[in-house]
Amino acid sequence: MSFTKTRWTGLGFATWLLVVLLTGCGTPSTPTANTTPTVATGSNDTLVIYSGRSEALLNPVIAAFEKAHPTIKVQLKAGKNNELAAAILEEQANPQADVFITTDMLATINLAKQQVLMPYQIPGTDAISSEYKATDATWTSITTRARVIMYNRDLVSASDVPTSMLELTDPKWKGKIAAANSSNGSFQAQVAVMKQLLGDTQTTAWLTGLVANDVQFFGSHSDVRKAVGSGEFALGLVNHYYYELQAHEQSDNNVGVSYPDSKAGQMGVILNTTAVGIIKGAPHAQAAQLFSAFLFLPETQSLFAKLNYEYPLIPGVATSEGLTPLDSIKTVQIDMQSVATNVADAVQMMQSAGIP
Amino acid sequence: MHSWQTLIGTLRRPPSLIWMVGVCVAIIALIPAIYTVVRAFEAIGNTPLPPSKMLQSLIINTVLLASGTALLSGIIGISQALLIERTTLFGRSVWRIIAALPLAIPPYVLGICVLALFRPRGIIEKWLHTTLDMPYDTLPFHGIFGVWGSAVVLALSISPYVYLPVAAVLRQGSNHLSEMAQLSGTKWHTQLRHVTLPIIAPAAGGGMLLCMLYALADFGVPALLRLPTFSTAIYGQFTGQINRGGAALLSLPLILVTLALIISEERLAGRGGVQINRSWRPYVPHVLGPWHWLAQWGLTTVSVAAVGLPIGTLLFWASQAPSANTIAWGTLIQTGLGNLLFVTIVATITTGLAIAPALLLRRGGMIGVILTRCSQAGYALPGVVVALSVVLVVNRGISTLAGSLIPLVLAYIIRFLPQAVQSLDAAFMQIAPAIEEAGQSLGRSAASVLQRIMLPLAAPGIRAGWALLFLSMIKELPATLLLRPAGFDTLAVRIWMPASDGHFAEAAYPALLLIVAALLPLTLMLSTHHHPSTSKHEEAAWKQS
Repeated sequence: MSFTKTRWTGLGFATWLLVVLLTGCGTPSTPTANTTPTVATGSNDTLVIYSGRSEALLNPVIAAFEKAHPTIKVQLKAGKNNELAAAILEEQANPQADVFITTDMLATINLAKQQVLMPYQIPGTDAISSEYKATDATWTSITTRARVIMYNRDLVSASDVPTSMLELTDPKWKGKIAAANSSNGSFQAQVAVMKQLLGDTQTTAWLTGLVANDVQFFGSHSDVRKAVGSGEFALGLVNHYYYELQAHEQSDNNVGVSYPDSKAGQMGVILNTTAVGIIKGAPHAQAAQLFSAFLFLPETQSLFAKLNYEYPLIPGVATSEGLTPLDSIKTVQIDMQSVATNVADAVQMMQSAGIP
Repeated sequence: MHSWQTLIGTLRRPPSLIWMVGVCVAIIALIPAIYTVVRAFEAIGNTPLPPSKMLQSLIINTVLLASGTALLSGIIGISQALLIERTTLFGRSVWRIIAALPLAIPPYVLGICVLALFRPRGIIEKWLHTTLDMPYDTLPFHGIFGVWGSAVVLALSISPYVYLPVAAVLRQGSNHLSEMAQLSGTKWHTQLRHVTLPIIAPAAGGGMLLCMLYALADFGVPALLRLPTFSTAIYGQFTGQINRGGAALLSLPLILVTLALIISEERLAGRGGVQINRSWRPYVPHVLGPWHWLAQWGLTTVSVAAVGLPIGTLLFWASQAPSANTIAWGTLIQTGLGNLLFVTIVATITTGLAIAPALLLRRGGMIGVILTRCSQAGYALPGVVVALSVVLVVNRGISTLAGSLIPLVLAYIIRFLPQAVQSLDAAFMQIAPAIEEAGQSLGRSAASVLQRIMLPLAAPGIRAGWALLFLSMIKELPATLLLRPAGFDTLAVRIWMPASDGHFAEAAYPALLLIVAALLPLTLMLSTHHHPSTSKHEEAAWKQS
């Protein structure tokens, strides 16, 4: 008989645990749960950065920051913009990150709407045009990048290179194009902008056309640029600095670039920005402010310009040599705040079209 | 079998502490799985369903990859076991170790090497082009992408899951049937078909199903070799969208397919039965004769592809001078040591937690079996889905823990608990109930019997199980990628991050470190395999009963 008793004890305990766990959902958690090692003690010797930029592109800046502030140790988690945005939303009860760096202005705008970013007027950013920062100072753009088509010069002659995004669906490029997949923020933003400018029908047709053209969708733009550089693909849909990075490689560097849709009558080159925001309730808010300000020092902006070939947003900082100046070409002029509401639909359109 | 069960039935039930722990473990393992399914059904209403064309190709790719991997692993593993254990192969003791070595090399590391070497315009095609003047696109290098490329890479990496159990059966199993067949002059192929294959069938089938489960869950290899599967698609949804609904939705079919496989594994395992070693005699190996060279060649080819190629490529990258200077050795070694410590702790916790379910499976009756099956829910959850489900539960229930190390630890436990329970169950299985009963009838409490009889007797099996856990955990990639707190790195992450950006040389050092780290538990595992101490226990048990 005692066996059954123990069994009932076990089952009773199980039910109790189940009830506790299920009713625990939604009720405020007890402070005793706050014993995780990463929780701040209020000190500012650490800085936790969530970054939608790849590690390789941010590491030089982090190294420079750690050199300038030797007491602060930076901890970086690099991933996709939306992956980290979701993490920030989920960590609201106990924020882990101090600073969020995104590669997509739209993702930043949408995250700021969720009230998880802390307003901070970053010193040195007054000169940045108002369309590139939040009115409530929750985020500020760091650099600008353009959506371009890069090509392999061994495979494509300059005269044949598409001069419009819309030409990528031309059957003559079947199986010859590489692009990022639908989890990529820059590609998502491009489709959201196109949806706004061209309408749903034409954008969907373009996306289905890409899939019909056997475009290879990669997990990252680095894959795209390397595949175009090596000649595995003739064309690559990337941000402009991926072309520059490939062109400056030791080998596989015979690549060219087209800034598409930049002629009169066309929609213009699609621009996007990287941005920074401080997390509300950041455990190391002071370090976060220091880092944010560091991003806009002329030296740092110059690092972005020289190492990553991006367009700095602080006036007076020179762009990398040979970079197509943005003021010489037609660029998309659009209210990004309203485009930001398109993003979820844009991603859905991409996936419905069959883009992985 | 039947008399064992009645015997077990008369044993005292496990102490209530075991029940309590067993129940807790089952709940920890089960809630995320259930919650993911609930969220998936919730999402059906408000998240747009994935387009059916995409779903269709995901299903086809995933099923083909899983069956292709199982088939190839079966061919590789069974041939290796037969050649090594049943023939006069030269160097058998060396081949025994070499055939298990792929376990030390994570499939994604082999994938990275295969990709760099064999991709179109990769190292090999470029070399052919520049030194032999061979025009590009002469050879079909595109073949490495898609289902077959991924299946070959996976099969080369995980064929030890077939080889090890089959070789163990051939080594320790009863050979009198084969002997009889030999004596009566049966031809070797008839003997193979009618005697040997039926004997190894349960072990081989179990191993191949394990390979299938592995292929269903794997993220790294299909992601590298451009094959969209459920795992990569869920990863895409997880990282590409703020809304978790899409990821939960895509997890549903994967969970169902995996569940179906596990159930069939149960069936298959049940057919195996217990082997009786009453008249164990060494097997008279088949004389290979002139076929000897072919056998050596075949084994060498497989091992070179699975082990030589990745290690050679990694060493080559590591020797490339410019990167050697930029490697931050201090950070890397710190990461490695931290990784070892983390995995040691989590593997130990998981082994500890698995004791209760394993005991309940043995003696807990119907409810015990059900509880144990619940704690094996992690089998149905590939790494990506475990990560998702932990995030979903933590987010809804204990959101203060979000972003800390706890969700990652939970994910590891849930993901690898089934493996731990299975190893412990196997370890306990070697102990005859009579021994346990003897302890109890002499007035020992159940706890004391566990502490003084069961655990010491099962120790070799427990150690081997722990080693297997360590090995699996140190190679874990997708859950770690998604759940790691900022500043927490594993060697696997340090391989994946640069490699996914195309910086292969940078990935080489952590990869080599990881392989060295994986060799330690592998040695522990293999040494346990080679000592037939467990079968001695079993024999002793039989004599007693």
